[in-house]
Amino acid sequence: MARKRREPVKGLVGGQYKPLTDSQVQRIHEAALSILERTGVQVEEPEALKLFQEAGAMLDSDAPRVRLPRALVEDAIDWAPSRVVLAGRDPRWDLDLGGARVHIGTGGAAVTVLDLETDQLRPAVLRDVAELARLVDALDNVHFYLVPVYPTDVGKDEVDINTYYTGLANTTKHVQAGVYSVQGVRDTVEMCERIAGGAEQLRERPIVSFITSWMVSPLKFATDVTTLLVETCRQRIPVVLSAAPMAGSTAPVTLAGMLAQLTAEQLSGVVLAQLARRGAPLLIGPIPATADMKTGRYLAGAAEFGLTNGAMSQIAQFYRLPIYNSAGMTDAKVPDVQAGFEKGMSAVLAVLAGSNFIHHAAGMLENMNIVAAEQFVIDNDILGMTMRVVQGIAVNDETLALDVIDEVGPGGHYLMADHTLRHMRSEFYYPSAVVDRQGWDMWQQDGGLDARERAQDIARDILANHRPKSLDPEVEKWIRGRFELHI
Amino acid sequence: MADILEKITSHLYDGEDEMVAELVQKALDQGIEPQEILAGGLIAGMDVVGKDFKAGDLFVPEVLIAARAMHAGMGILRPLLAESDVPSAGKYVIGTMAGDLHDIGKNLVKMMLEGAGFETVDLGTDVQPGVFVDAVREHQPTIIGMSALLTTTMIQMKATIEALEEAGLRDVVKIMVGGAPVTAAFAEEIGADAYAPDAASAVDVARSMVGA
Repeated sequence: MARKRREPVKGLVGGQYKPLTDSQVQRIHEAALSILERTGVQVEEPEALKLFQEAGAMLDSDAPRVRLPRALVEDAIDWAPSRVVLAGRDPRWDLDLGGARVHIGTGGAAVTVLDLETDQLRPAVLRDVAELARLVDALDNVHFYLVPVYPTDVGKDEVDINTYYTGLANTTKHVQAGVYSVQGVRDTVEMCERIAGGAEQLRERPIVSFITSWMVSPLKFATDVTTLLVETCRQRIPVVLSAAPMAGSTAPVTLAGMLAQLTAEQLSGVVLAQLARRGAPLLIGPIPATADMKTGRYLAGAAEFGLTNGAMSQIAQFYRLPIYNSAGMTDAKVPDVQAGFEKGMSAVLAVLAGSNFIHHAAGMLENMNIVAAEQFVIDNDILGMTMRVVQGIAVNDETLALDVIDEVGPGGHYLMADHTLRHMRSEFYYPSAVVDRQGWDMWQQDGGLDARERAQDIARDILANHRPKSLDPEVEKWIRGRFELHI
Repeated sequence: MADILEKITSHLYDGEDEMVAELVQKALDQGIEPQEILAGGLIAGMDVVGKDFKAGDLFVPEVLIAARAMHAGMGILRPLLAESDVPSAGKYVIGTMAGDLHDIGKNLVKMMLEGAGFETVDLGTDVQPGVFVDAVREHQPTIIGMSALLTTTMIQMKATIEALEEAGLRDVVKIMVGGAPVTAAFAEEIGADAYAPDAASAVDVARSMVGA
């Protein structure tokens, strides 16, 4: 007699919110091409330089400056796939990225945890990668597991394999993380081929993807990460081109100027990725933000955050390239009122803009510095509500309900109409117990807890009881024999 | 035997009134005692419904159609049961206060009470204090329930209680109040016996008042 389990609500089509007009998008596109031709990008990584040179980019002899001709950029945009599927170990969690299809989840990589039990800050460790994966596995509105913390107890040479293994072992959702060494990428691919059942199986259904933050804004390639970018493209595993300039410090203070520069940066990455391997699956990863002109700090909860991330979705749709960007972030330090409204505002804008892969949207505090278990639980409901908004309003004979309106008639009620029973579960979003909808007296009777306290209770319950589907024991054994794991 | 009772329970849970009536008849035809069908089929089903509703798994409309299915089954059993075997949680007179035409909340409480086995008398909306008094005299209920949506009509609750006092009937009946603007503190202030914040808790409160 149990009710059916709710299927994940993801991949809904956004695009209703368009902060830019079509001609504004066109102007930003022209501006970006002009930046790439006139100013160019600085590249010191030898292999990337070689690839650019062979493709006909203009290289300065003295400074390692690369200027990209318009035709090359346009070709690269064509070569890049406009649809990328990221798989989950459980196919229910596959993500079909492209168009204005919306998916939303966690982001990384905090090094500090606001501890659920002590309420104190402490360094993030590998165990947190496992615990947070289990937590996220149980939160249906979080569509993927981008490893939210960098484990400070694992060395850089071992962090990739440990992070990916720990994520994959503790959730059936797609796992993504930053990568830190070429060997780490290779190890991770080898492990994932084993889990997926073969090299081709992994390429068909990539259960992991890699983030390469190759760009140091403005317009400068980070040498080490550029090497990783080329490597991951050659591995034919989806890669994210992450760049995060701040208007006012690492990008022009004007939002249009920032968007133009960020678009240019993204396109330079697309060119390199496609030169490394034509058709390499990638997500552009523009994360526009602003600097606090009072302090210079990075701002994640600003009004401009949702606005500009929405604009970047439009630009991605213009290029027909899948986009990874950010929303649901905050500058608050604890899950408080500020966290709630900053997160809610940017999340609703980014989903309505049709972003394909919105990260940083669950669990984070103080921009991307801190994670808190209860914040994941709270954000799960913010995201559920935003997805309901994307879903929109179905208008058809069944939903217009003329027959039932006539049957019930003036002065009647709809509580027992078949029509009500048929639609009541799917028409509304029902939040978890984070959201209290009772009156004052009942709320008091239940302990008078605030949202954060209720979320802490839910997080404790999930962490105590939720056991995600584990890896195949044989595969698990092989992985443990092959790699040095610290968990 | 257990099999058909389980089926009754399951179809009642799903609110299928015709199916429940059919199965109750079938159970009788198989020679199962009416009392057993009532306890092991209908009441057992409503117990699961109540439990899942409290847990948030079932919604109000689902409880209401389950209650309707229960009544469908009871319609067949009632003539066969001795008076003492028919469970009645108590008689409940309910109405919306004078000046107030909002009745969805009151109707909801009424339906939930019926689902829980209360016999109800619905006085409708815009019920003057005197009408409540007459109803107490005529129906001799265990409880009367007063509902108001408006802050301007909830003061009529006090007037109604005073009217009952004047008629010497205040002590023969328990008084419950509810509705969006009503609070526990207000209930106490006007001398009501109990307050329920929503329809589901109204059933619990009513049950506790009749000691069921």
